[in-house]
Amino acid sequence: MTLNETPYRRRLWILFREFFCIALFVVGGGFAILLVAEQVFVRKRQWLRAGELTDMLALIQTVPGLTAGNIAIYVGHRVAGFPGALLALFAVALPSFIVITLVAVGFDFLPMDNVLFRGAFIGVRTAMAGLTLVVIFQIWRGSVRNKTQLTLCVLGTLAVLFFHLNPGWLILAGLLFGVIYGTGLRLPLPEPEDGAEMAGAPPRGERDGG
Amino acid sequence: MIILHLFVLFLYFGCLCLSGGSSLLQFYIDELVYRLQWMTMDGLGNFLAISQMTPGPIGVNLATFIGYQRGGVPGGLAATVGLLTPSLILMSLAVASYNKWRNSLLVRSLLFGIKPVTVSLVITAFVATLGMSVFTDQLPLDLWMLKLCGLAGENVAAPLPRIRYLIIPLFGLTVYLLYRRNWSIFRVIFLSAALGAAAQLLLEL
Repeated sequence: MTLNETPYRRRLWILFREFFCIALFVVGGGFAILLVAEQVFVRKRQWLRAGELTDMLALIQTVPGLTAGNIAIYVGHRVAGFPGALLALFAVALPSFIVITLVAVGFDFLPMDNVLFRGAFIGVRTAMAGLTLVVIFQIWRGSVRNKTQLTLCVLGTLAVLFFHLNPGWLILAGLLFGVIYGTGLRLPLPEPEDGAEMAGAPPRGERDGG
Repeated sequence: MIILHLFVLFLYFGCLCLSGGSSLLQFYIDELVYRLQWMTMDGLGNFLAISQMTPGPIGVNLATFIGYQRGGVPGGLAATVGLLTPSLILMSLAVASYNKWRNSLLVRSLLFGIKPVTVSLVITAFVATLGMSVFTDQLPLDLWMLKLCGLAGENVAAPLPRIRYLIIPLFGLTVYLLYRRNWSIFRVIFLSAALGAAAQLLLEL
């Protein structure tokens, strides 16, 4: 059934069910969720164009919010307007909410002195450091594109590390700098880069294939 | 009152949750660890580890967890709703006017300034995660790193000193698998958990 053939209520129900399952079964988030959402809503349901979600990656990554949440909002909007967006977002957050509440209740009873537990936690923290480094690699190319941006990035990093600058102020400073630089002084900005910033995204040519 | 506080706090985080949430960790460190002192860096490290191992997006998991710790189930709800509300509003507006704003000079200027500082925040979060894993014992370099990460003087649940010689290769391995081999985060996390447990067991035998 294509989108137009599906009654509105049924669309909402499918949105809820699919996003609930995506959030429940895809551990890790980010691009993993994008791929699964594409699989479900493009191939299985044929509600979205092929490659539509990867094309929207720039939007999904730019607007403040979690990647998974923004994907849900986008798909929900496309399929059923604002109520769809709300419902899809609710469905993405619900499994976390249930699982984490259960885990948090049991957290105090975890045997944290246990050798295996301690080791596993150190292991996962290490993976987290690796993951964060990979995120830096992934966003670097699209985010730091000339010397001005490099300077801004270095100064921001030093200010937070050594002077404990509040990250909110840093973002505000970056925002003001950008507006003054580009709109106020009309200095040339790098050409907008179409395309995915996240590693693992299929190259542009391959996206339309399926 | 704490519920309202949580909601407003996470509303603020939600507004500034750039680049798909990767800048969020630095906000948690700054607000929750330094300013409000609700938790230690070590505690945040444990929360993060659990959020990664459980189903659901990491950002939502972590918000629910922190909210729950402060205010029970209502606290978890307040934190989650707070975190996601700004994105619902902003994303809806953005979808509605996508074609109008995508090439506007103002938006391009905004992004020109915001993107590099987002990278800054991910870099500082990376330094902090190193402080939670690799640099957790008492060599001179470590003390300096710990100070940088705000862990100095804390009773860190330090692994045995020798585990670091296993942790550094493990760190390299995770980067290699994620970046070069395109392994899913899921597989990397569980491999690291298993290897970490094995390493600790080996060292304590």
